[in-house]
Amino acid sequence: MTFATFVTAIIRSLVARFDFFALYPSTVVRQVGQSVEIQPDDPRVPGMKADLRYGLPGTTAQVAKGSRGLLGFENGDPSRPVFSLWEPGDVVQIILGGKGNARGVVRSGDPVALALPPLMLVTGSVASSPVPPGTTMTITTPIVGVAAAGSGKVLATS
Amino acid sequence: MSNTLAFVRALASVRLARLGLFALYAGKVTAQRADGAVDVLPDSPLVPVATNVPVRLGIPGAVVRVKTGTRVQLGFSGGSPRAPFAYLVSADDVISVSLGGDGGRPVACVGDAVQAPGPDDLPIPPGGIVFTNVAAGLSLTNAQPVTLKGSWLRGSSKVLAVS
Repeated sequence: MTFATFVTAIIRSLVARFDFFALYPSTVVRQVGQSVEIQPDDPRVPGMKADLRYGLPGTTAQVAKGSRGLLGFENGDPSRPVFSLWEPGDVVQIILGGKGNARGVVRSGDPVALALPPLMLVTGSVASSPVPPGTTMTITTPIVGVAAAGSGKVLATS
Repeated sequence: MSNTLAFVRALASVRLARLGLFALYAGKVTAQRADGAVDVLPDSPLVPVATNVPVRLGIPGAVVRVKTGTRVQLGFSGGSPRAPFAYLVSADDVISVSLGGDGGRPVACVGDAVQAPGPDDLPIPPGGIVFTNVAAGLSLTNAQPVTLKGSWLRGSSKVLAVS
């Protein structure tokens, strides 16, 4: 062993741990719960299972095979891989707000259904019934509506 | 002795140089391209200007459009200078955030308007809508429940969600 090889080996052993401080681009192979099996691009880093991390508390997601993100290691500990920092792309479903009854968020253009109650209080006056055309009256009973549909991919909990 | 130290220092410098790229560097967006990638001007003069940098977010499927000047963290995947990424974490104003993928429609907010069919489209159920207790003018009775079907007119100008 030459002196240079010897010194290089020492330095390499000293800095090896720092490899786990880096973030590695990887591809999702499969999702299991809130963990993913991933394959890093770097051939020096083996495929592994990593816990999902999101940049927004209370968020969970179902990601598609092939989704891209970064593999990291909490505390620089190789036994604690985590996966986050996603590239733009598609997602199967994302739930915002934590645990609870998740429903699709409503968007502009989504349908609503407004129910007129059987008995409605009105203001104004009418001369007879049925009401003649052109009569103006104000319904003072609130008309309650519900969103009939929303996003199938973006959900929020109650 | 000094030559040996210099030699060791040189070897160590080569090995340790990569560690500097494990850090995140603050900077600002100078431009955003059509595909979402950004140009970043780092605050530190030690870090070169990074162009066409892909944006990474903590939410899968999200796509953001940001204004020039938005603050970012510039990182390097695997500590490689050829693999920069921008991590958008600041609360600076954004142009839009799309959830679930690119595009989508504005999410509705409390107070946003909905529109049901106009009076001409009001469905009159069998038996019609008739007044009862006309003398007092108090109530309007539907022979059958009436449901008006409409849609949300508008929503957030910045937060979008896909189908």
